[in-house]
Amino acid sequence: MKNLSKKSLWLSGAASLLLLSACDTEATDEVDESVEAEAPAETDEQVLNVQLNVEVASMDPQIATDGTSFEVIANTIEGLYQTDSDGQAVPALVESAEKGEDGLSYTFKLREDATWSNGEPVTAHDFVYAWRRLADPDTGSEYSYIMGIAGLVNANEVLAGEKAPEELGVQASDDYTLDVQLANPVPYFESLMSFIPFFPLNEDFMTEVGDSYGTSPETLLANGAYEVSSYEPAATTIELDKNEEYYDADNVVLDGVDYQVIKDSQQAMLSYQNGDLDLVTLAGEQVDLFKDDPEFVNVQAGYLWYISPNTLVEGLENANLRKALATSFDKQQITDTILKDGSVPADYIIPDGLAVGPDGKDFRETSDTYLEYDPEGAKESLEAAKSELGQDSFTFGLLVEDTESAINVAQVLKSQIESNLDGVTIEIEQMPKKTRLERMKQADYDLGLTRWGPDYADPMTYADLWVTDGNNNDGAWSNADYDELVYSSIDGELSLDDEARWEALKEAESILLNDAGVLPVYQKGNAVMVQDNVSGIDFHAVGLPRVYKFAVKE
Amino acid sequence: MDKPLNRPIQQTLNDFSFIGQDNVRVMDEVYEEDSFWKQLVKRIAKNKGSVFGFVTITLIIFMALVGPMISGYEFDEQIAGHESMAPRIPVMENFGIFDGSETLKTSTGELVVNKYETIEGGEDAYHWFGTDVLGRDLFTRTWVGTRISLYIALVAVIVDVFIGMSYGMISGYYGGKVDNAMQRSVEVLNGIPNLVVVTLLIIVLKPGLMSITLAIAITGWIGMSRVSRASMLKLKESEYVLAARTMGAKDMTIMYKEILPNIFSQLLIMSMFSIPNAIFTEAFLAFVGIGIPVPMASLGSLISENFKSLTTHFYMIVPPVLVLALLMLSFNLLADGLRDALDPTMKEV
Repeated sequence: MKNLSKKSLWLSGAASLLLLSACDTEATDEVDESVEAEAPAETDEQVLNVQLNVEVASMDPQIATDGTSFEVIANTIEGLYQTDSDGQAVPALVESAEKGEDGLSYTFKLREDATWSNGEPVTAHDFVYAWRRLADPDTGSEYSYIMGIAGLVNANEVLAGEKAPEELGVQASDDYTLDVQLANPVPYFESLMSFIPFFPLNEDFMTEVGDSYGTSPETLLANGAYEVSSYEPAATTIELDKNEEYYDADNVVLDGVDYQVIKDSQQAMLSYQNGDLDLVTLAGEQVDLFKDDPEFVNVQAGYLWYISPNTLVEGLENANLRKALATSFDKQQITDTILKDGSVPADYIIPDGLAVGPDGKDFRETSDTYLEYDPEGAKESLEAAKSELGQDSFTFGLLVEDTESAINVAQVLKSQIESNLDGVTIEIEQMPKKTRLERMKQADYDLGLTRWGPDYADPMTYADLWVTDGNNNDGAWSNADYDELVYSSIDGELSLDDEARWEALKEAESILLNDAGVLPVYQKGNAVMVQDNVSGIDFHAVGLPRVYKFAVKE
Repeated sequence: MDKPLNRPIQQTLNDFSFIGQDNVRVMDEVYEEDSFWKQLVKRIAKNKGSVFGFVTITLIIFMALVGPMISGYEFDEQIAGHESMAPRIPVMENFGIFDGSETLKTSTGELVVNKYETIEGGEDAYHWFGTDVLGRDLFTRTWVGTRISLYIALVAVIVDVFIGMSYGMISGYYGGKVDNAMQRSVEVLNGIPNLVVVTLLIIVLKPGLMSITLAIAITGWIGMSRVSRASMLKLKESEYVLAARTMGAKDMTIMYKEILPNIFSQLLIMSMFSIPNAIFTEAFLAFVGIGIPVPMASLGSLISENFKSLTTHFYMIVPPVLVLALLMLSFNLLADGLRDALDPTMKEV
């Protein structure tokens, strides 16, 4: 009897599964039908279908922190500047900019034909409002410190809560003139203005919708090429329509952009081959299958993956041990056999192609490389560390987020470190990205495989990460000379002299890496497939990964 | 009516005849007296399905023990250059199968590659099940992973027998308030989904074999306890129990000496059926990523890892899937055979 009932349980379980999946197919069928139903009516509609790897975390420009959110926001909202296909800042809402002679003030004249999608004009007040909002500690923006990097007068005091946001060095002298006062020259200020947290918001609209901003198409405003027509928090599909109110609408060819969140790269590729997607990102093994395809594109991204050692952990405060770890894994093997997506080994911390110096050359062209793969040297460093620490075996946990590539890379790291370094054991702890970030924030880790994407085109976007007590200095690495060089480059003496500053940043990098304060692994490349009837998508290494304003689908 | 009765009965010799020795012969059929286990084996042997199950399980256990030793590779050894190689088996390669070549369906056409021919020292390398994307031998990993599944099977049986059986018997035997309290707490425990229990455990403990074992130990025995309680309720009122009690037997003696042998076959079947469930639970947990940590392997985590290469190198996922499927099927078949063999209503005597 018992077994019978068990069987029937199984049966009913299977039946309910079937039912569930039936519901699923029904739901998708419905969606398909509605799409098909619309299609005959407007057959010549050009909609770009794009795959996203993760959901959009926030549509609020001052709250969002991740690349995916940035991409969608940047399609709907435009700031003072935007990056062109070469990664240079070009004017967007700015008609003309005037830089004070000492580099301490900017006057931006805004274009007068820009409007929000509700018909209101985009004015200088919108910028003042958004910037004060960003700096206001009550907003709780994780990117608020960027106001200090931008060097606005009183920015650090407002961030610390010592002064009111109204005292921030930005004013609207009339509706279309924005005055900015800086505490120190910031050579990359214009590039910084194309970064999402500096994007404007309409104060009246914000007061109207309150906290519900960015939770539905009705609570979103656009002044960019597209406006949101379908969105909800954590949505797996997001639809953007062309924004007819956009001042440059004549140059926007697409009728819209549809985003689909597909986390599994195989599934995404199947959709691409069915023609349901126009742009997908490939992973690992798939690259082999498609690398000869004319639709295959390899894009270098600025993201740098590195291991952050927690110097508060016993053993890792020893520079020789960190150096031994940093030089004991073969980066070339990781990029060539595991990732295969165009990633390159990183023997540096300022990515290639990030920033061009006063000499007109890329930062990497004129600077050295550090911590190359060197198993013999690693063994020597380890011996030195062993005698300094009086310890023969070390066990460290390695925090990894649970994505396919991160887990694979971590397993290679573990295997190579353990085989090259006698007595070192690595224990991989995999967890969701959010948990990993939290644990690293609380310094509750030994080693963490993490990444940082460049926010603006200047080495400072990386260099300021590792100053003592820095917001993102999870490993608590500290060096007085490094601090001095970086702080002086932000708002001290060096900030006044472009060339000396450039040299100082090179020196800072050498201090950091010669002490193995971080263990660089690789600079990410992206392997993407773009349908051959699609053109005009801009891929960027800095700030925004992809821009669709000029995309065309034939 | 009464006439025939009153008539005197006259009997003649002709009315009788000898039965004769030919017609009645009492033949004593001698039944061989088999032990309980011997009978069991005999009956199971008649069931082809369960013989198949038994042989497969033995084979899998043997391979799990020996496989990792004979492959010549370590399960977590990443051989640089040997990433994603197709299966290559000695002898069979001469017939054009398992010779290490695979067909890649690239978007620009089909491409036949044989990595054994292109890499240095590849001619002498044999990976019987191929390698994964990190260059680890899948043959070794599959059998190491099978060990985990078999270990889980063992845990499931032990938990069933030691916790489930005792819990159910005690609850059923004492009845009343004890039964009430014990059954209500089982219901509470049963109300929490398995997945939730495991997730909670992983928050407290490190993810790994220990937390999976504990998860099975915490919830796996509930079905067993129900069966043993029901059997106990049925048998505890029977006369032989009363007799034993009259003779002064203690509770423990009655439970374990008098009643247990009579319900043991049911419990055996029950615990056999719980094995595939436990194996599947572990595989499922590994597949969703809360199983044993990398680079350890279990059948579930192998399936989960290699699933990501399904459209590129499909051969990677085949061995763990096959072993898992065979293992579950075999345990089910064997349990089926056991049930038939032990069912008293089907005894032929």
